[in-house]
Formats: sequence, C-alpha cells, structure tokens
Amino acid sequence: MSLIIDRGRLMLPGPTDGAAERRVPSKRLHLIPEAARRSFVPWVSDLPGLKLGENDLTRIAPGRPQAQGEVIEISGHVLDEFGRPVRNTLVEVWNANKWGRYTHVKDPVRERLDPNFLGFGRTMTDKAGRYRFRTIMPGSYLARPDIDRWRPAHVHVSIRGGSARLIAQMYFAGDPHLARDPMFILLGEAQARHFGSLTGQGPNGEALYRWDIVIGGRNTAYFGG
Amino acid sequence: MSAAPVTTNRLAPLAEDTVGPYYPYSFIDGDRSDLTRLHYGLSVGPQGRQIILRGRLLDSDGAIVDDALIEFWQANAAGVLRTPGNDGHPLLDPFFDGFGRLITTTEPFAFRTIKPGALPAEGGMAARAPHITMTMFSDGITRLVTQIFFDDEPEANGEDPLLASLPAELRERLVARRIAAPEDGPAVYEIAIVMRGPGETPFFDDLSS
Ligand SMILES: [Fe+3]
Repeated sequence: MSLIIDRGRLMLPGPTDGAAERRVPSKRLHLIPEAARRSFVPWVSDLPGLKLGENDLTRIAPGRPQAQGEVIEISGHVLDEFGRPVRNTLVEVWNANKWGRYTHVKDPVRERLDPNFLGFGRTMTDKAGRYRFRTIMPGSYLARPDIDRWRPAHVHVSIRGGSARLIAQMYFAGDPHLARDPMFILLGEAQARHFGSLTGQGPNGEALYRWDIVIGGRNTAYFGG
Repeated sequence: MSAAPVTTNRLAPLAEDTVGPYYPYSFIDGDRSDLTRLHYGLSVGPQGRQIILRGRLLDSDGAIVDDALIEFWQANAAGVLRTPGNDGHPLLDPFFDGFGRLITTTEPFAFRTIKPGALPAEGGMAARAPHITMTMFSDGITRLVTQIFFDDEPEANGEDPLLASLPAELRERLVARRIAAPEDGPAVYEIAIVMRGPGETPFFDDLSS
C-alpha cells in the first residue's frame, strides 16, 4: 500500500536580493516515510585538519599585522537540545570587515578591503563542546542599494560534524539596523538567542561575547538520528 | 523570548539561516567532489563501479544556480552507510566514507563517486533502492533535501518506499538518467534539480506541520 502523505512545511520566500523568489520551492515539502528515514541522516567524521591561528580572524596569519577595527572574541558552547556538548565539531565563521565588505570575490565593490583581514576562519569544539574565536567587529552593509536596505552587523557560522548541521547568524543587541532587517525580524521568538551577550573585556581591551549555539529541531540539525 | 515551555527543560535551538552569497570557497578543502580518489596516487580505492553524477541545480527561470553548497551522502557499493551504528560492519569499505561536498559554478556540477548499493531491510526500515542524499544550501533558501535514484535500477526503484510515497508523476524527477559514455570510464548519470517552478523537484522534511 502506498499512502500518499503530503503535509510537510510550505517554505516561504525570505528577503534576499530576489534569489528567494526564484529558489524557494512553491510546493510543500514531502514527509519522509518512516520506512525510508534512516538513510537521510549523514554522519560526518572526516573533518579537515586546522592550521594554527585559524580561529583568529583579526590577522591573516599568526604574527601578521592586525586588521583595522574593534577586536572581539566570541566563545560559548555548541550544545544539543538536551544540553549535551557537541564535541569535535567544525565551526566555520565568516564576517564582513570593519567597513561592511566581505573579502569574497563576489561581494560587489562598494566598500574598502582591508589587506590584513581575510574575514573567515575555523575552529573545532573541544570535549566540552566549547569553541572560541577572535574577529573584527563587522560593519553593517547596504545589501539592497535599490531599496536602501542595510543589514545589521552579524557573524555567520556553519556547524558541521557527526550528524550536527546548522548555518546561523549572530547579531549584536542595540544595532540600529535590526529593526528594519527582514532576516532578523523573521527570527520571531528566536531573536533573543541570536544575540551574543557582552560579558566583559579581555586583557587587551577586546570585547568578549558569549554565544551558545544550540543545535536541534527540524531547522537546525540533519534530520534527527 | 527564549523562555521554553515550563513543562520541558530542553534548550531552544537556534533558527537555521541562509548560507548567503559569501560562503568562503576555501572552506571546501580537500576534494570532496571526488570520492573515488581519497587516496590519490595509490592503486587501491573504493569497491564498486565508478560513476559521475552530473547535475544542474536550477532556479525558476531555468538558470543554473551558482555558489550553492551541495552536500552528498550515500552508502558504499555494498549498501552500507558509514554511521556509528555500522561500526565494525564486515562490509564497510575502508576506502569509502560516503560524504561529499562541492560549491556549484555556472556550469553543471560533477560529483564523482561509486554507485551506491541497495540498502537491505533492517530494524523496521524497508529495503532501499540505490540512492544519493543531497542537501542544498544557497542564498535565498535555508536548506533543501532530496534523494536521487538511478534509471538502470527499475526493479529496486519500483519497491522503494520513498519513491512510493510520491505521486507517480513526481517520481521520475528524482531519477538520474544514464547517458552514453566510454565503456572503460565511469558511468555518467544526469539529473536536474529544479528548486522552484515547472518540473519542481520534490524536497523532503521529517515532521508534519
Ligand atoms: Fe552577511
């Protein structure tokens, strides 16, 4: 017997440069039949080896000059919904420079590049699920010049390893662009947990942010194992 | 705000976001678009028939979507997935782990791998036709997941519970077609993944709404 079940989510186009209107499926997602679910859960054990200093985005390599802007340190735990640490998992990080420009070749040339800022880095969680990286406080950027839409300062992260998978953004409370940022507004009740919380200053005056990354639920992990 | 219902002590997860347009290319290290040469330069490698899955990720205008991150997951030639539950399985292939990854360009992508075997029925799960799980990330979407099958496996496809769960007219959209290629090289299969619009690919989710 093949029962046709079709009650998955209807994804709604979000606001990103028109790409969403061309890329978000128009039909509801299809539910995975229980008899077919096992193979949907990837298990990623082969993660890249990291180079020294890859978790320090403030300079291109250890010993090189520091990039311009305010140095910040972001740390916290990667946890599952039960508070268990997600260990030995790759945390990839990327953010715009002080002036709001990504080093990525496809970022349209509007703002200055900083020759001392690559703008991406990686780290691995330890046995307690802890991660830590240093970067430059990202500038806000004009994502849609046609309609004068700015993105608030944010840091992108990607989590990958085991069967954990998440791509998310950290924001900074008080940013004046938050109120008009559709991506932030669409977070709804989840907004508060996407703020890094300022916990103090490090020995060199860097602002210390704490941000716990909780993986779970339909939207934030590979399909639950 | 972040308060969870008082009936649970579960932590509230973060919301998944788009990968955006500026995911760094250099995060794709190693060559995870070719799982046949993880041990490059050695005359040993994974068991099974080498194949190339050639695909086009298309938007509603029929244009190829570039800068999308695609992740692949599949069983080895014997139909065994390299999951912790299969640790010590006698049919695990030491030269094959089944996880691939690439970033698309304006050309069709080519994922070079071995043909996955059929998965046997096991622990309440039905037998599965040979397939590759694909997860797509790009600007404009959070994540799309589907599974791709092979047109030279009509019998197994006819019994597959995922294909059977779809209306008949949608099933063929998940079946890659084998095209002519030199006999001494890898077999080549082609698939179009249509994110939106006419011919839209069925994508999957794991909870009812
Ligand atoms: Fe961004």
